[in-house]
Amino acid sequence: MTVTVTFKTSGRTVAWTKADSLLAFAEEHGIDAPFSCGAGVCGTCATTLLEGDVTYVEDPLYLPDPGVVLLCCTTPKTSVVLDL
Amino acid sequence: MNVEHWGDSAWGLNRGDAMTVEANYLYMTDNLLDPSHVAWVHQTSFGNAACADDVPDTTIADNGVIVSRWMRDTEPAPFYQPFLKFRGNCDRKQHYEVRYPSHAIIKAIFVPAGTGGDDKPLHQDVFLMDSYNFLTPINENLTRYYWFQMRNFAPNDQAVSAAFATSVRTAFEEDKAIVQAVHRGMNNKKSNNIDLKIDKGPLHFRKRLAQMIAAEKPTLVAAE
Repeated sequence: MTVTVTFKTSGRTVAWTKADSLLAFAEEHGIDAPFSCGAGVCGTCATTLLEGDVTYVEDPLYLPDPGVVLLCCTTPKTSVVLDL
Repeated sequence: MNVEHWGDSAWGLNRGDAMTVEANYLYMTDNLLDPSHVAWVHQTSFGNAACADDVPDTTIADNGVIVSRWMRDTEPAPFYQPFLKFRGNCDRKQHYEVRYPSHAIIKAIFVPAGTGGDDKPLHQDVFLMDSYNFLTPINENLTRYYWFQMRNFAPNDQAVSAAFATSVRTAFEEDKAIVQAVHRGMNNKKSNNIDLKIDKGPLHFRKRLAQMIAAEKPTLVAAE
């Protein structure tokens, strides 16, 4: 089953291909995502997850609130819709 | 606490020293868990430009945080050069471990260039130095800092111990100047703090320690 990533604000849906993180994936596809540390420290890339589920591939310093994900530390577990 | 090689006749001991630092002890743990500080703070002693390059690995352990890395084929830093048994460039490992609540073990490994690695046996000419560092808070703004070092050579050489004692003190004076300036700066900061990737080790240490302190508080109240 194809996993897709939907950037809702940008109005784009892209098939997930292996990337270090959702942040890296967004950058590859020209989606501007806010970020600073890239390591789960600063919280700048916190984004609302509208649908789907993610896996944390790097442990962030603090987990964000429910419904919010850190793009720099996650990859999709299922197809996801991001408020981005 | 287990001190490796304590009482080992092949190892030397620098009995160490102490100083009072006009800063909160957590700025000292921040400093220790950022090995890149060695490039900037210790240019004449422990460090050289190579210490600014490779990103270290951060390991979160139950009893503390370890930040470590191998630096490959670099010139030995000035502090270590006279004590190395080999010539030429080295592979150098920096291991900075800070354990809860506030003691640090710094391990330095120097081997001839091309022979270093966690998966390789130590070269016969290896230089090993383990530094044990104890940060004891006096209050929010003052820390008493104690230390001693173990080394894998010149076990009974008083001249080597004396040279170490002087050099380590000089280097730690460099830390003291920076950490005190950080403490003053953070108490008077004019702009927002920005945390970087390199701050992950120090911040994780602070987070876990704060949790441990919070967990102790109900017990203290109950005892009153």
